[in-house]
Formats: sequence, C-alpha cells, structure tokens
Amino acid sequence: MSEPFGGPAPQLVYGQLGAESRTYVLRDGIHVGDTAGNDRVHLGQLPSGDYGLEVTNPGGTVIIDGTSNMFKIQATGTFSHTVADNTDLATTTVTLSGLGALPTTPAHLGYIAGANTVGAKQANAYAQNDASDFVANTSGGATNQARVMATIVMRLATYLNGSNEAVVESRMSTAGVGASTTWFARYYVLKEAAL
Amino acid sequence: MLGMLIAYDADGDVVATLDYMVAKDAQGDAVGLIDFGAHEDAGGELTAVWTVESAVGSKVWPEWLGARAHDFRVERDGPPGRRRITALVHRASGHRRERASIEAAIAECIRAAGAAPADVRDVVGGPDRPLLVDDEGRTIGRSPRGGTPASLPVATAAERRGSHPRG
Repeated sequence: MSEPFGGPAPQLVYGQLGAESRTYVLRDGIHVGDTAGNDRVHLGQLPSGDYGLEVTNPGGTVIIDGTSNMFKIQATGTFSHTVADNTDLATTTVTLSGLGALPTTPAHLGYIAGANTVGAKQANAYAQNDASDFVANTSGGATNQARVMATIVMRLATYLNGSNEAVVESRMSTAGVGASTTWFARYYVLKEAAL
Repeated sequence: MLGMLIAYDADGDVVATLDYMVAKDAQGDAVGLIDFGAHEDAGGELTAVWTVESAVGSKVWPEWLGARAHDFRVERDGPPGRRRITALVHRASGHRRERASIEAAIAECIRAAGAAPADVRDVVGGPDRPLLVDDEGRTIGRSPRGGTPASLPVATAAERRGSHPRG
C-alpha cells in the first residue's frame, strides 16, 4: 500500500479510538457501535469478503450493504425543441459522447414543460388536447363521437447510437396549434450502482 | 475550471445546457466530474463531451443557471479556435451577464479567502445548485425561508426506533 502523506505510513494500534469512543479499528476495518454495544457501522472488509460499507439498524437489519442498487446521475442538462405546426414525429437529440461507450441503454428521468418559467409544470410526457373534438365511429360516418384529441404530443427517450454512446431524444408532433411550438426538457441520464 | 456547457443556434439563442457529466474509469466507476473549462482551455473540442443536433456550437460558461440559461442568447469573442462566450444577454430585458465580471468576482473570492479554499458558490452556483435568476436575467438571493416550517415537530431518533417517552 502506498504512503498516503508522503512519508512513512502512520502506524495505528488496533482497538478503541479513545477511552469513551465507540469507534474501533480492527483487522477487518473500522467499526462503530451504539450505546447498547451493537456493531452498527463497518467500513472495511465485510463478511462477504468484499470491501465496502455496511450499516445496521438498531434492530439488527442491515440497511446498507453494497448489494442494493440505486440510481446515480451520470449527466444532466436541458434542451429546447421547436417544431412547426402540423408536424409529425419531429425529433431532436443530444448525444453524450463524454460518457463513453455504454454496454446498455441507460435509464433516465426526464421532464418536459411548455414554458421555461419557474412556475411551468414539469410533466413526464405531454399531450395537449382540444376538448371539443368529434370523430366518426366508422369510415365515412357522422362525426358525432366526442374524443380526446391531442394537438401536441412530446416524449423523451434514451438509446445508444452506432458507437454505443448515450443519446437523449425528444420527439414531438403538433397539429392545429396555429403556430410553431417550443417546449423545454430536463433530463437525467442514470446509472445503477450498488449501495 | 468547472462550468456548465451552453449550446446555441445560428442566432445565438441557447438551445441546450449540460450541467455536469460524471467521469468514469475503465471499470465504469465514477472518478469525478469532467472539467469542461480545462478541456476547453487546453484546446479540446467539446464534441468529445456532447453533440446537440439543433445547435451550431457550444462553449463553457462559468456559472450554473440551469434551465434559465434558455432565456439568454450568447455573445462570443476571441481568436479563431479560442472563441469564448463573453456575455449572456437576456432576450426579454437585455440584461447582460458579463464573463469578465464573473471571473473578476471569482478572483476576488479567491483573494479574500487567502490560503483557505474559496467558496465561490454564491458567485457561480454549482453543478447541482444553479443560481436563482429572475425573469429579467438577474441573480436573486436564495430565500432565507427555506426548510421545513418551524411549526412542524420533528420525531427524535428514539421515536423513530419505536421508543416513546414516558407519559
């Protein structure tokens, strides 16, 4: 093991760190106990043989052991997407080449909003509808069936390109809005990691 | 120097931002954040970091503005190959956020800290702590009224474990 502070490695004596401390340095790492004498925190070589952090609750249940997974943010940003009226399936992308080649498509969280203001509602995906639309039940039939019709549909997705780089894609369709539409998105590209 | 990335279209309008990107080793383990500013200063191409389909280019900006960056357009200057964003101009109010002023404020923060590490977060924000900006593009202070309302009681550690105080 290299000397961390530029000189001979400091030597520690195994045992309790101070007369009233509940922190102990043992061969397999650092242990912290509670007032009832239970081992609550272990940092070092765990019973599994691997190295990490293990935290136990007062009831003896291990709550952090390096085997449960959580999502960590690899990259986060925003982008806008402007689409002319009556456009179908327009896409725009952000390619995150700095993350390198990935083995699988990363998970993501994304929010979209119709305005870039503090008060704008952040949605997971969006369809804006005109409530008073009617369609025919059969081809050529009377248009007397009320239906929810979308004038704007937008969604975010992630995928890997030909170089296995993560791509965040926005796809939007508009119809009958009367003008071009600009929506905004916030994305988080995630990675599963053990906790 | 850490900073955020801003991508802009042909009119200079901001079309995308990148707050931060985690750097990983060959095993895929995180080793820190990519230093966009150092990469740019070393002459590196930002296409090594990202590519924005709707943009004509991207540069580093020393503040973190989050989504509010989309309220601005960029002004750039500098010799070929070393052009930098020199100002963000608010598209509605015309308010200017000048790079030179920001860098001077950072330098003053560092000078005032002396030998101690300087905390520049009030000047530039941070990767997960963007500056709060009003509708005219000016920085506003963080609300002192944050946090849980003081009227709400907080359970003690003993209560969370199921122990209750004697009645």
